Amino acid sequence: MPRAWRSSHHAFWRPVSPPLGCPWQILILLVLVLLQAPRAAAQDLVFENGFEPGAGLSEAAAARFLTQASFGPNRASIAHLRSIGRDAWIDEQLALTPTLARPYLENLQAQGVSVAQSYRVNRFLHSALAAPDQLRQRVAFALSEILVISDQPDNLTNDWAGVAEYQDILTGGAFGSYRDLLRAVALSPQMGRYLSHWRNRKAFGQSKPDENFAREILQLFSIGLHWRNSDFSLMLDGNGQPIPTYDQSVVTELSEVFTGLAMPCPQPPGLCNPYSGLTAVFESYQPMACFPLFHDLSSKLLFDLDPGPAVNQVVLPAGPACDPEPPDGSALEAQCFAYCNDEIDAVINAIAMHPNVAPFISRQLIQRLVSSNPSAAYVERVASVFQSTAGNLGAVVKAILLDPEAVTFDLSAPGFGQPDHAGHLREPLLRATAVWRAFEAQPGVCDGSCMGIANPPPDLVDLRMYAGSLTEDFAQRPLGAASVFNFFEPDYRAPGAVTMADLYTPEFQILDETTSATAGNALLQLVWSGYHSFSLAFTQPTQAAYLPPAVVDGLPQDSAQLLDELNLRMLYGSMSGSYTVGNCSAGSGMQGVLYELLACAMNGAEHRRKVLGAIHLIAISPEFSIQR
Amino acid sequence: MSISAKLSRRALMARSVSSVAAVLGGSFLPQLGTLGQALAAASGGLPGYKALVCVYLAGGNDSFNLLVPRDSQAGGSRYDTYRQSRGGVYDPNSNPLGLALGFNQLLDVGTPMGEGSAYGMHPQTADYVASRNGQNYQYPGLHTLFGQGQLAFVANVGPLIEPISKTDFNAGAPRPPQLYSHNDQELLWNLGIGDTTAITGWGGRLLDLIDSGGHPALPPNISIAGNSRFQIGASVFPYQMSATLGATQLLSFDGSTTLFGEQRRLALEALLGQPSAHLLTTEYASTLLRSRELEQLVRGGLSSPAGQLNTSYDYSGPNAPDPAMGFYPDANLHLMGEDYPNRLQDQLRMVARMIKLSRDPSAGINHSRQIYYVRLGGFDTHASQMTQQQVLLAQVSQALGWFWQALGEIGAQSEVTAFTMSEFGRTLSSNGDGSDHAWGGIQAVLGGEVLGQRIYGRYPQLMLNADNNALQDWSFARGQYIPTTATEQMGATLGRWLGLPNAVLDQVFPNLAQFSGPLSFLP
Repeated sequence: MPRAWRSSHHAFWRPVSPPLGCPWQILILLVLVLLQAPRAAAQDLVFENGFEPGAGLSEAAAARFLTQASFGPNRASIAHLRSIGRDAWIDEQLALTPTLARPYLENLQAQGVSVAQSYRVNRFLHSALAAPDQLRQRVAFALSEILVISDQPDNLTNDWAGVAEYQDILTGGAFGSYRDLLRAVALSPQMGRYLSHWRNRKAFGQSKPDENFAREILQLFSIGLHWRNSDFSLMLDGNGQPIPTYDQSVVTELSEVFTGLAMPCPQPPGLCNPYSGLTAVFESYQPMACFPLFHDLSSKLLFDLDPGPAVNQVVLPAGPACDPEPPDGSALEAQCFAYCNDEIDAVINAIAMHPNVAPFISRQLIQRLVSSNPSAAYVERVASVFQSTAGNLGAVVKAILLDPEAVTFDLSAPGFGQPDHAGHLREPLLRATAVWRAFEAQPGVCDGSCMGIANPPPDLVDLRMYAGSLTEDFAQRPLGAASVFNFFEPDYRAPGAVTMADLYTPEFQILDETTSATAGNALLQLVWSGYHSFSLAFTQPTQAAYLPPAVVDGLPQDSAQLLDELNLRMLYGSMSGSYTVGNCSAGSGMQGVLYELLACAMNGAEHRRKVLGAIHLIAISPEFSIQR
Repeated sequence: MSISAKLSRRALMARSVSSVAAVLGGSFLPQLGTLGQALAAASGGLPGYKALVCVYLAGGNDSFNLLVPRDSQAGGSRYDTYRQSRGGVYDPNSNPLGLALGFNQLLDVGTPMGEGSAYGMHPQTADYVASRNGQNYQYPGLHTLFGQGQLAFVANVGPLIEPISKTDFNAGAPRPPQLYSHNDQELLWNLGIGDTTAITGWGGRLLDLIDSGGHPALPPNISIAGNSRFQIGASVFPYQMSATLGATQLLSFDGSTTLFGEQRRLALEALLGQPSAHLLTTEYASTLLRSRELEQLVRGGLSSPAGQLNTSYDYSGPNAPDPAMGFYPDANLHLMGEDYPNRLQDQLRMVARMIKLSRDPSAGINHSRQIYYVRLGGFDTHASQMTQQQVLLAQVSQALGWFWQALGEIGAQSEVTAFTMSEFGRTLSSNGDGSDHAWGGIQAVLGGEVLGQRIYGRYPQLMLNADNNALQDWSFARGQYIPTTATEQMGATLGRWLGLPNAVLDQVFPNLAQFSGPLSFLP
């Protein structure tokens, strides 16, 4: 019997014939395979090289790139990327208008909806699914895991507009300068409330300024605890010890800079004194304003800009005499406002100028998009772009995604030509979005009556993605981490083999015996959303996204073709092993297992049952779970 | 298997300096049991049953408001010093920036044995009444448990390298790295050694060395609150459960014909069993495998009578504290029931059920030693401290009071010791309406064998900028106290009680010799 086998090494192809059923079409399929195989091989030679621009990109390479650069590939995005190439695709993405959250939510509110954080989360998920500015959304999500705020504390729980605005700050700033983003974050009243420099006052009596934000902007948002070389390796002193970037005295002095900040007085004035009205409380997402009466006026001795101690130390001068309040409209009053504002700017500039920022932020962005353990050279290449562009995140992201280490993925080489620890565990939410996008999910459409609103505007709809608790189901909820240390930390190491290999595995911090199962069950709901498990009848959900019947039913009927299609859409063609058409026991690896399931074990099952069952199985499989 | 046999079987226990390195940084043995390599399969473990329960208070509990000197209100008294350092007694109207509790708000505990004057506890450690279906249930708070001798405090404890005075500190003597940083100080508490490059936590190291016997696949280290280095040993890694769900079953692979469960189960098992050269792929596969292997044992047990408790739990309504307690009635505390779930209590309920199950020979777990980990966040009270911390401490007190009652039902009060850890104490001085990160703090220990109603270690004077060598009382400008008792001393006391022989305490706590040895709150 002639054996038509295909291994994972082949480029992808689609038969031009209509989908075929089972089982008598197998013969026809064999003929097709034989006819197509030489063509596929020829494609390999010409197009498989991932470095080729434009149409040279294979479907697999395109799908893999989109796994790094978006919330997941689908047929349309694969085709578009192949038509223009990676470089042009990134440039196109950089130029797209940001898809924002707050205006959408405010529009809902204006139509009578009682908006809450769950609406914000749905908006986030819908943008992940459908926003055209995929790269921007993806980078903004990564930034939200570095510049962390969370709606968990009571003082942000009800502030959906503020938290959405914070998300929009990250979205809008995802390709701008890191310095500008850091400034916007430092002045966000939501960050102010989260890390408590909102309404922080200069020392008075025994009370000293709150140190919370001062500590975390250094430790987590910019320079980290130790001096780093540009490849993120630790600098060591003469005794072989790491060199601290700052000490407690710097935190104390820096805490004095972040004083006198609160919600700006509303316009028109009168409700609040812009000089002294720090303690007036307004709901706002406008950047915090300076209230000079409460801003510390002493000089500040801050961190060093070269490995210290006390080398090229940042020193901020003392201010004018702003207490008691000078006459309204006086020159001194203007000086006092200027001192406060300028000092904030000066300190943000100094932090952004610190040589640690480039490797510290570059490494984390690489971890979020490409790999938990980038080589030192990879970090250095990206950090040098960070440095040379003064922290332009668009350029940094482009450098991350086009780096040879990100691009190298040779389907014909052992281990795909990568080290045995390349890539990273997919974050739980990215698992969900990848499945949604791969099969062109549609959001649930909840109208006024669905929301229980009396006399709703006729055009009122909310797009619903997920009805359950993301925290309980996926251990992850956008802008909803348990602490400023995010859902997981960049230096987390799973115990055992990973630790002994000296590797980092951030995402594994939230993978355990419980979360692996709860996420698997949530994915089951997600894949089967709307489908009756027995009758397979479809009822359009209103509260959750679903994989449309037209897409599910349009997937190939033939087991081999279906398997190839799932392999491309979910695993960028990297599924291990091979299968032999017509012989369920002759396959190997993951392809062999799935072929046997589809062609034999589930032979005779309805198409939907096979498709949905296989998608879920792949979505919880080890090979899908590790994005390589 | 005896401890000595276990020690000798593992070469890393050789009595040498290098053995310390082996425990702390050396090679991991494969995860026991789940790979079918049942270390203790034939062993009954140490006789009897004992469990430690680590209650981690995440964010840095301001513990100098949990236990407070309460000698007198006179000027110069210890209470007065506390009141001054904290910027006066908090009053939402007249002194919203003060961080001190009122003398009469504090629940008096008298003068504990060995102390020179009286102390008081936070008002939210009072007993409480919860109601369900019209019936009232009375539970003890930490205040009563202290008075009954079941609860002890360890004062001014924290990570240290060696004993260090303020003079030493200013002269650059060794101190733990990254003081005042949340994650670094939490890591130091977990590691039980002032070196953040260590790999294993002291809870994990204890169970590397203590023979817990029992089910070969279920680790004796069990977390109800996710991942913590505290429980990671060289050979024992924790099993992680959900407070509300227990063990979660992966659905649709259970033989359901509709979903082709049996066929898909075989495919899933084939995928999970495939060898991979990729470390991360293997790590994911082994986690899901372990989840599925242990789920039947644990979920089945928990749903059987051996995993159920009678101690009332599902409170129907809010349970506001007695306004006569004098604390902020306008805070409208709803500490129990659907209105205000107590997540620490949820976790401790799962611990109690697992303890009951583990002690029931029919359930098949049969560990004779276990270490549990639970966690409550929110203690990073930089702002609104006085209104936030009372809610958190009420949750801690009520959860532990409930847990104590549940242990009584099980008959395991003398076999369980619960203790708190928190990354640091906080500044005594206010930052407006909260406090900032500091160093030494106070921890609580609860158990039937605890020699309670006492304070171990030195309770500080609570002064700003203290520098008193005679009293070993040292603090910085904002009242950040230098610890006078090391994390290791507290850990060694707990570890010795669990079953680690004195002779090998330094295997788990290699820095212990720097300090005056274990404390005496447990036999």
